[in-house]
Amino acid sequence: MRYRTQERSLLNEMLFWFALALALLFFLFPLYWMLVTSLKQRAEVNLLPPTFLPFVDFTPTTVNYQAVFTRANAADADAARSISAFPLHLFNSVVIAGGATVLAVMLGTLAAYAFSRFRIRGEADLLFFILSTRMLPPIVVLIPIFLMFSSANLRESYVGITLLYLTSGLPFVVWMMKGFFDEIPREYEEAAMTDGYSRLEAIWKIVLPEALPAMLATAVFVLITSWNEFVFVQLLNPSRATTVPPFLYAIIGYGQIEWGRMAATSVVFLLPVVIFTFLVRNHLLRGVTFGAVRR
Amino acid sequence: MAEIEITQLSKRFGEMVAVRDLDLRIADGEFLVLLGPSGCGKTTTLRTIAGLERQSSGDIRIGSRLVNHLPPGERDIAMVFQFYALYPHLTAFDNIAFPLRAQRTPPAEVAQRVRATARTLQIEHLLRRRPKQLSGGEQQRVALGRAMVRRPQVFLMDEPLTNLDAALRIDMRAELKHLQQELATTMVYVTHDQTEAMSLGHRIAVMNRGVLQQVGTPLEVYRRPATLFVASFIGSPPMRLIDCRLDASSRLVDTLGTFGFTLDEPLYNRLRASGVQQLVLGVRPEEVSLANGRPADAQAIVTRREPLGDETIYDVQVGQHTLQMRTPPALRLALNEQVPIRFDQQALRLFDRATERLIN
Repeated sequence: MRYRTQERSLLNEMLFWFALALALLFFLFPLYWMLVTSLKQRAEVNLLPPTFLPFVDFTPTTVNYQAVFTRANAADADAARSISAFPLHLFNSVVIAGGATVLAVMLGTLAAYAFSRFRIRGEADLLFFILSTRMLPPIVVLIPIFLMFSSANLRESYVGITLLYLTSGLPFVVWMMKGFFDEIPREYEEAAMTDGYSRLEAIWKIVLPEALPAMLATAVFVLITSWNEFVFVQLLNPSRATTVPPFLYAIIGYGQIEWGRMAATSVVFLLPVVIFTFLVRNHLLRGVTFGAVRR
Repeated sequence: MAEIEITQLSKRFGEMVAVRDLDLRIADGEFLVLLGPSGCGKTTTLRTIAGLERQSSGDIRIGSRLVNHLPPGERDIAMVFQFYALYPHLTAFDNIAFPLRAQRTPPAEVAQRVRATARTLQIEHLLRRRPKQLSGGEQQRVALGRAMVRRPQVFLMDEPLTNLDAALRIDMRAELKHLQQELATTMVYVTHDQTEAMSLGHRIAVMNRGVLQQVGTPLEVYRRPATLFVASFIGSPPMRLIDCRLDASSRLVDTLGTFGFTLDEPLYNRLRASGVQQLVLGVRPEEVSLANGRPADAQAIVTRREPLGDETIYDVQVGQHTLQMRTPPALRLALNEQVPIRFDQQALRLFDRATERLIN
């Protein structure tokens, strides 16, 4: 039995889009459910069977989002209009995770450049050491880190936790960017140096513009990891310089679980990362695969 | 004055010696080709002149100025790389303008000089494009333009034509030669292609394993190769080398005892005078011909024919050795035919087997 060429490709097209739709459904559905939950009244959240279509099955409400930003549960009306602890925690997340990401990408890129361009003694060993930090489940070093941070007075501080996230993200950046720099022929910098620039100027003018997509792609991964990190920040910064994940955990509630408020908080929390990733989406694929194929 | 003087240059990478005790003087305005196989040290030498590598020992003078400690940007040199190294995010115009802007040249002058250079290389219509949008030959001209626009004392070129297809390579070769003559700037050119070296250079410096073998004009290097390496490297088909010795009756006999021929008196006397016993005979295809009535030096059997259109190369077996013979295209010999052959004894080369150096 033979298909006519046009028919066969149409069938394949349909299968492709169907498979894609299934995959998207699988990944996006939980997020959608969370979004929908954030728009529901308390009574509707636990309905069985659950409802999914706003305006059709239920009336959406902004009450949960108000609860995110204000102390809506407070006893009197005035207190209820004051801002909640969430903005502070969101600010902390941005400063800590964002700061760690920026630092990790900057330092890691420079280190990767050095590994790529210069003859470093013991290079292979050093790179292995750097990679080996990622082979350990982080929780294994939870107690030692706690003890170290205690004696170094780094607990309950912005600096401490940022340093931790920086150290955890750095190996990834170094490895990704080294692979990337290895792909860029060193003749670019040499040409620039022959033309009169110093090496630093050559890096700034020629190499970094080329490296930007890879740096952004790497930044996304470091950011996501730091942004969502829970265990270490919960243990080290329970009351000061706390990020959103421990805060989310704390507002689960006593007696009743405030699903609506948690869903709304989560939606707001994931927005910055989603927006950032969306803005750099064009660079993501190029940045990720660049180091993979050796010339 | 852009004379380059290299004195006792050595470069080591850890244990490996890339360049060993190189002495070379390049005259102002000369086109010098560094020729040799991969790993012979020619690129390392070039990069040391440029300042991209620091030599382990030895001195380099450009225009009688000692440049050992100067970074590449201060040596007044321009380099064209094998992969052109055009900045991908800049247009052709910006690529050529780059070195001028690095020297803080005023924009008006930059524009004027870039356009003038583009005009010389016939790439004015390409100035707005990015490297991605240019063909290999066009990219190469932009790379050349970037080097030329600086009006340096010396051009350094690292196998710039290797990435081009054969036809384009021949065109660019001619253009490069013409360009160098017009600019009259000293040019040091690295290649592993001996045809390129022979056609481009005023002089060729042949290197092998970090050691300079010979410096000379293309004809000198071809006709009088100083070492066995040069003899076998230059020439296509390559020179045939046969171990041999003199025997009592003024004959040159190969060590396997399978063939020998009588030497003419001048050649014989020259060899006797040198006192060397262990010899290597070097024969080029054009030095072997059919005897055609004149006394034959040896009997040979035709084993292979290679018709090349403008000439035919025959493989002929003499004793245990295969030689090549260049003949006019019309000449036809049958395979396995036995033919008497002669050597052009004035052109034959004899080497000392121990030192590998030329005797005559």
